[in-house]
Amino acid sequence: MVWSEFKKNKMAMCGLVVIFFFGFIATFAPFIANDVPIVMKKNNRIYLFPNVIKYSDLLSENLYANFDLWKPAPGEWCIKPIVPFGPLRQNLEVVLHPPNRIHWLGTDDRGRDVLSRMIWGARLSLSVGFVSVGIAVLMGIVLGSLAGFLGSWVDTVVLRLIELMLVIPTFFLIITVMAFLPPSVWTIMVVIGLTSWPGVARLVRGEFLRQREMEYVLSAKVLGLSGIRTMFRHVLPNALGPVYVSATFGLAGAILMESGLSFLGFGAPPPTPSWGELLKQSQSYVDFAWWLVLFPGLAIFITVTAFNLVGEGLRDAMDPRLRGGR
Amino acid sequence: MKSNIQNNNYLLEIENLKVYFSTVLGTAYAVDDISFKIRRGQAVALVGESGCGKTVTALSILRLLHTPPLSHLSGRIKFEGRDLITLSEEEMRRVRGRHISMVFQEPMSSLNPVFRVGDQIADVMKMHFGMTKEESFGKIEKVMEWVGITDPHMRLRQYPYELSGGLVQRVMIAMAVVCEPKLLIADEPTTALDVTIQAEILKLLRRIKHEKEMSVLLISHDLSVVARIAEWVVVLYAGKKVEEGSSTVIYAKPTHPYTKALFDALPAKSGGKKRLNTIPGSVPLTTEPPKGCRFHPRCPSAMHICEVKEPPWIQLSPEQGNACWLYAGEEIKT
Repeated sequence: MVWSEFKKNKMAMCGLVVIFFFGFIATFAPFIANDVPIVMKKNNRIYLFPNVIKYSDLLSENLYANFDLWKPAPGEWCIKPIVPFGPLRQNLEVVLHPPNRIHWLGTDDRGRDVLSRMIWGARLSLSVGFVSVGIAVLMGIVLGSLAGFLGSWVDTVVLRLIELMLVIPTFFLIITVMAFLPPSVWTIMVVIGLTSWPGVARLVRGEFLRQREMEYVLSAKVLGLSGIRTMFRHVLPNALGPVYVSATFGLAGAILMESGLSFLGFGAPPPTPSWGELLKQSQSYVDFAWWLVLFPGLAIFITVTAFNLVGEGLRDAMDPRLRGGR
Repeated sequence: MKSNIQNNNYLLEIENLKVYFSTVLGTAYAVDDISFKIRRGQAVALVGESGCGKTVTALSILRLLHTPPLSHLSGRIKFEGRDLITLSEEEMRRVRGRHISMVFQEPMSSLNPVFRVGDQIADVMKMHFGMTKEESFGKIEKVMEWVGITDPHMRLRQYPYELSGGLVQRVMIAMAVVCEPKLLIADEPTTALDVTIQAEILKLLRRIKHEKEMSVLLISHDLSVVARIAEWVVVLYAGKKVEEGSSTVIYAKPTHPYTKALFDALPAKSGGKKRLNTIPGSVPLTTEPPKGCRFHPRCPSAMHICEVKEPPWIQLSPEQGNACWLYAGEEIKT
C-alpha cells in the first residue's frame, strides 16, 4: 500500500535510485576502485579475488603493499577493477593533477586518485549513517516503547531524559566527546547514535499511547492475549511507521554530521577516506584545485538530498491525509 | 459444589453488578445493581440507548476495565460456578478468548492492520492451545469456511485492508469462536455493516448458537436485530435494569414505559406517519442520575412517587419483570 503510493512520487524514486547506486558502489568498492586485481594468474596459480581475500603467498612476496608497481610477467595476467587505484596509494609523480583520462576526477596533494578515495569514502559515510541511525533507532524504540507501555514514572524519566538530550546542542556535545575519545570510525558511529535517539523515542512513545487505545488492542485482550504480548507483537509493528520516516531523515543527518566532524578534524583519522575528510584535505588547495572540493561536496550534497527526498516520499506515502494532494 | 449442580443450566449469572468510574464530573454510576442470567445455548440481548451501560457490562464480564478510570467493581459474575471478579489477571487471561469471547462493532479497526488475518487467528490458538501456526491453520480454515468465508485458504493469507467489511466481521467471528468458547459476547455486531450483510451476520450468529451450542450475549440498540436472535431480553436504562423477560413476551406486551417507547420508535410501529416516533430528551449522565426512577424526566406516565423513590423490582410473571411504579402490587407471589 505504502509502496504503490511511494512509486507515484518521482522525486522520491529518484532519491531511492541514487541511494541504491551509492549503496552499490559502497558495497562493491574493492571491486570498483582498487589496485589489487580481481582475478590474477601468478606463480602458475589463479588467484580469485585477491582484493578481498589476503593470500599468504602473495603477502609473503610483499605484493599487497606494492601492487601499483607490479607488472604481469610473461605467462601471468590480471584483471584490475575499473578504477585501478587504491584509495591510500600515493604516487608523488602525479600530485594535484586535474581530472584527466587516467585519473578521472584528478589526484590530491599526495597523488592519490580522488575517484578511488570517493568510492571508498561512500563506504565509510554510508556505513556511519546506517550504524549510527541503527543505534539511535534501537535505543529510541526500546526507551520509547517502555515509556509508552509502562507509563507512570518510567514515562516521566524517559521524557526528562529526552528533554535533557534535546536542550544540549548535539554537534558541540559530539565534538567535546570526540576530543576525549580515541579517533576511530566506530567512536563516531556510537557517539552520533547515542545522541540522536530522542526524536525516535518521542515518536515511538507517542505512537504507543495512540495505538494502545485502538480497538484491535482491546480485541487482542478479549481473545486472551497477554498485555506484554499485545504491546510488543501487535502494537510495536504498528507504531513503527513514523520511525521509518524519521530514520531516513536521520540517515541524511548522520552522514552530514560525519562529514562535518571529519571536516573539522574530529572524524575518522586520516588517511581513512571519507567525504568530509576529503574536503578537509582540499582546504589548502581550494584556490586552484577545484576538483578536490567539488566532487566530495557534490557527493555529500547528492546523498543527503536523496535521503531527504526518500524520507519525504515515505512520509507522504504513509500519511493518508497528504494523499492525492498532488 | 451444591449450588453448582443446582444452577447447572445457567452458564453466566450476574448478580448485583456495580461498575463505577471516577470522571472529572464526579463518579459515574455506569452500571448500578444489574442482575441477569444466561442459560447454556441461550441468546440474551442487552438493549438500550447509547450510554445505558451495555458495553460496560460486557467489558466488566471480561474484566477489561481498569483502574483508573474504574473506581468500583462489585457484585458477582458467576461463570460456570466461578466468580470472575475474584480471578487473578493471569487466570482471567485464560478465560478470555478460550471460554468467553467477544466481537466488536467496528470490525475493521478490531483487526491488527499489519498482520495477515490467518496469523492473527493463529496467535490466539497459540496462546490458548500452544499450537504452532502450521498446526492451527487447518483448524482455522475449517472455522473460516464454517462462518461462510469462501476460499479460506487464500483469505488466511490476506491483510485486513484487502477484505470487505462483511468479510472482516466474519473473520472476527471466526477468531472469536475458533477456541470454541461457551459464551460469545457480540457488541453491536451489525451496526457498522450494510443491511444485506447484517442479515447474513445475524444468520451466522444464530447458527453459532444452534450448531456450536454457544451462549450469546448480544448488545444492541436495534430491537429488530434483537428479535432475530435473542430468546431473552434485558432492557437497560442509565445503568439500571428496567425490564427483563423472554423476547416473545416482551415483544408482545412491553410493560415499562421505556421499553414501550423503544418499540414505538421502531419504523414499523410508527405506521404510515412521515416522522418516526422519538423519546424526548436523552439518557441522563450517570454522574448525576435523576432521583427516584432514572427514567422519570422522560416518562410520559411519571407519577409523584417516581421522582422520589426508586422503583423496586417487580416480577410480573416467570417470563417478565420490570422496575416501574405503575406495576406496584401486581407482583406474582413466588
